[in-house]
Amino acid sequence: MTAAVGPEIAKFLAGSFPNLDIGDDDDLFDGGIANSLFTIQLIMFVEKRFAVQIPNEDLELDNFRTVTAMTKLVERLTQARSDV
Amino acid sequence: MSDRPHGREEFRAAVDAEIAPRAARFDRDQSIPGDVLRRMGELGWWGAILPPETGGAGMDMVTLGELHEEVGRGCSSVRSLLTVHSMVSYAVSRWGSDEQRARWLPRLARGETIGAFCLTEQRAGSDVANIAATAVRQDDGSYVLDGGKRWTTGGQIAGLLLVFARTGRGISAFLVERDTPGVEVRPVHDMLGTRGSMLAEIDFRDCRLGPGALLGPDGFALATVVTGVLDIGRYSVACGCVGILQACLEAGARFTAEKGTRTQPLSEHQLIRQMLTQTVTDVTAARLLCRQAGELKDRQDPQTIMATWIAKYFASTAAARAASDAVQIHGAAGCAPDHPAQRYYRDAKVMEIIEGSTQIQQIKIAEEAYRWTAR
Repeated sequence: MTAAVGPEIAKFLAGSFPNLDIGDDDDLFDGGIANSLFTIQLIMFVEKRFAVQIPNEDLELDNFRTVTAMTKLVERLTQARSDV
Repeated sequence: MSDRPHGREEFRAAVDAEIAPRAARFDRDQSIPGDVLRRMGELGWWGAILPPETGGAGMDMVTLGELHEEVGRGCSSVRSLLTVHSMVSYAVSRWGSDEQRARWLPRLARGETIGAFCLTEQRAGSDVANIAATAVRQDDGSYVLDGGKRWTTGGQIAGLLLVFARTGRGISAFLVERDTPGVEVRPVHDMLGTRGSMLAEIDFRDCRLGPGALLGPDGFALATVVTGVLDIGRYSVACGCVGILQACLEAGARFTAEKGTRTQPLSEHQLIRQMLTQTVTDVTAARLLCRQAGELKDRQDPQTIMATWIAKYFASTAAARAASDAVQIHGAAGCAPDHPAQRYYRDAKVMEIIEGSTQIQQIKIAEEAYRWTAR
């Protein structure tokens, strides 16, 4: 499942913005793609799809800036969970 | 727990027995009396949204929507207090640390502490990014809060304030106890509508907050706490507007069935029927939109955010229309002091302004349409 994290997030973005091509390292905030309304949708998607709750200390812009950053975050959180 | 109502029929009966008959009085006195606030605690309404392990009723969002609809049908001011309290409860439950949750959730669930939401400022309304209040972090980890908040629903009675302020890292959320030195609460009277919702202006001068006051991520509250909490507030307001629509429908139908000349009751007039038809259709559609938003929330589906915008936009504009018609249908009687129709009219207008004005929604919802449109 971990291997699919990046593509799953990319799929969600593609579904949300059908007329944009968003690369894995494209900045969603500097590029003006994500407003605060979309950001919370993104957080909700990540939490639900990967069954994680993102702790407050990880709720920061840099973790959601790109598909790559989100993938790292999810992998770290799911890794932490399986370590428990 | 067993005497707590937990379905629409029971909410309706409780509202008809304890809220609706006194709503004109609450409006005139511009306050909700303590016995009603306590009773709402016994009914489990303050803690409706909170999980049972914290003392809450653990309602799902669809049921919460039905509760707020029924309360809104009886009195928009009481519903407004429930709205902001639910917003604060949700924020603590969703973003609170273990300490914050243990400390506040049981009190919020019982309604022992009432929560209020302090976002709006003199120069920051819908444009929340313009917030000027500041919370400066000290070396010992505490914060010093300065700023002024306006139009705080429930501010006159709230014991726990959810305050948004600028820190070095961006905008953050803070839990501020009302008796913190430097907090000054001034009641605001004679508003157009929801006059019983005990509005206040609140100033914070050199307020020292412990390190435990920060709620949620530091500097990233706009896209998390603000947006998430406003989503709950918007949902509650949308459901409350369904209640106003229902109240307008029932009042209009009852009045016109009884009133008229001997030869022709008002209910026989086609133009009266046209107004009632519009209200019947609107209340049905608005209720379905709220239900859809609630079901998406229960599934934690990200689409609930936009579904709630749409529900609030439709329900609040329809409620304003229906309340205007309700006054029209009742004629001079509807304009009289203490008549429910004129209260619905004033309250419904406020619903078009709070938690995202009609115009902001027209911009945001259209933005969504453009997002979906091919290049």
